Amino acid sequence: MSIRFTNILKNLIMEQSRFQVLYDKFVKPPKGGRGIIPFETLVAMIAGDPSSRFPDGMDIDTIKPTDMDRVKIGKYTQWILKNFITPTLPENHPLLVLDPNSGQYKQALKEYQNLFLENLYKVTGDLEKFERFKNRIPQEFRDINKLTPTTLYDQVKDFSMEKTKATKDEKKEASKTYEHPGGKVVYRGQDWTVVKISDTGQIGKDAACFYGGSYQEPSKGETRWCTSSPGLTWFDRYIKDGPLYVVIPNKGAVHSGGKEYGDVSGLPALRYQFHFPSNQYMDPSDHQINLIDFLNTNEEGLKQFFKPEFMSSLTGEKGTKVQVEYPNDSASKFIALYGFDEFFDSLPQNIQRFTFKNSGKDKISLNVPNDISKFKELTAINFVGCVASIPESICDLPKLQYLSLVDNPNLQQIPECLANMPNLMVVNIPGASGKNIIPQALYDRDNTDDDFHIFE
Amino acid sequence: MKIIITEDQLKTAVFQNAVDMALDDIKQKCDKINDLGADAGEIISFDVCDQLESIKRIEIVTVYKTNNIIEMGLIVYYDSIFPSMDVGDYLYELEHHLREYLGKGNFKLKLLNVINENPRSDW
Repeated sequence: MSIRFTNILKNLIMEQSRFQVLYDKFVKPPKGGRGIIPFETLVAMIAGDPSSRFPDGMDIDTIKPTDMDRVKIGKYTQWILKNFITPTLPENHPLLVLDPNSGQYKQALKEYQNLFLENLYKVTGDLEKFERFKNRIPQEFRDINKLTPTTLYDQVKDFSMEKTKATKDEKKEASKTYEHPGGKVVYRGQDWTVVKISDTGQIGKDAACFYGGSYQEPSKGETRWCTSSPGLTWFDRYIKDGPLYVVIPNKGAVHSGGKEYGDVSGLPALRYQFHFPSNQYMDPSDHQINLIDFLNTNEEGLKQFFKPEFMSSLTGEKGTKVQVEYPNDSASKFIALYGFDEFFDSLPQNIQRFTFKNSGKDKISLNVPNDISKFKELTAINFVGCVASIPESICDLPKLQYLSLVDNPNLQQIPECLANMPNLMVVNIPGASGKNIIPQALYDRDNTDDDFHIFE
Repeated sequence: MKIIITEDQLKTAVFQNAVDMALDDIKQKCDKINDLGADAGEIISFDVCDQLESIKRIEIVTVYKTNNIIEMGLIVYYDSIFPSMDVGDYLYELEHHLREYLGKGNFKLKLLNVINENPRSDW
């Protein structure tokens, strides 16, 4: 213990003294003379070293020598200084051929140093790569003191700092915490955790592979999700439309094959992947689950967590058309989970077209809420097999042109005020004839207005 | 109930608007097919989706109501190096999507002309 403490103390003293040594050597003017470089330049060199550490909030433009006690000088600072003050120059470089006492030499030196400072950020980037990929650089180039900024660039130019893969340790850790690079834990409940994968790049794909168990089949406690196959491009096709959600139980759980945990990922064998834009909610065997049952029978927090995601899938690409294909699409699932009134409340007010088609075997009889009048931009309404009543407030939709109410056996009389809507041009109610659904006022308008049509 | 026996040209704007919305619906579905392939909910013929690129607009030029059936005369404008285009499948799809706004069996489409707007279509 005491040895460790001594080491720490030694390091602290060395770091402090490192600045003092550099300051004394390069900045402090000798008697009757000038320092080699200004203090600001020394600070720029230290800041250009990616291994230097400045305290949070410290402004390097206004820093003073006394503040430097709090700065950790990095291990590449001396190398940067060396290349600034005594650079290795190519043959015939003006600084090698000109008389050091001449004005031309001084001018060339000034230009060289200005250029060096201007390009220092590039050297910083190259040093970051050098630090990270040193073990992949040929052995003879791993000593920084044998490199110049030019040869350093040559060695690291093909590496990218963008992280593309998680390390083994990160994967091991992720099997316990579910936090894998490229995925973000967005919900932690009592029984379930939800991870969101939004990254469309390689790190996102790596995460999708990890959470899916690299397509290693449920018999190994993993999944058959095509997005988890490292060699295929399915991930790219899905992620561009929206994030993937992986829903994982907080403890080991069997899906099939008797395994509680995956052989490859170490994650619970039972887990689900949701992709809202494509309306896919898959179990480990890549079969659709009954999402409504799943969310209604598990913890409430999970159901509430996914509500915004459902809402964002309610409108189309342009956000002005709502199309519900009941009972199969995401919007229908929203209605089944959260109710029709909440669905109505969730719709953006600028929608222009609203279609609700019930293609299920059972007819449903919804009472369209009064606040349909809030959708002032609506031009077309199409309700198929789903409504029982239309409120008077529909007449407050100034832009409504098409009202189509097809196959609604329980529909009651539609409001008389529809006859007074100046822009309404088509009322399509097949099968209404003889049922007194259409008020006389609409027939009267049909007889007098060539631009108004009733189809029944 | 109004039954017009005599032919009477109606204003085209109402129906032009419905056609434009139906075309927009087709385009959105084609985009979805493009993105999701077989996972897209509703499938539209690939030929129709391919033609979308070339067809610039569909113009309703005449509208008549006969025996309570609206007959819309239309011209298809396209831009292609090919001198002719078979728009049969396209109009079938349009008719299908128009039902959402005008109802089923209430209208007929009558193709009056197909015009290529590409000046170099005769190479």
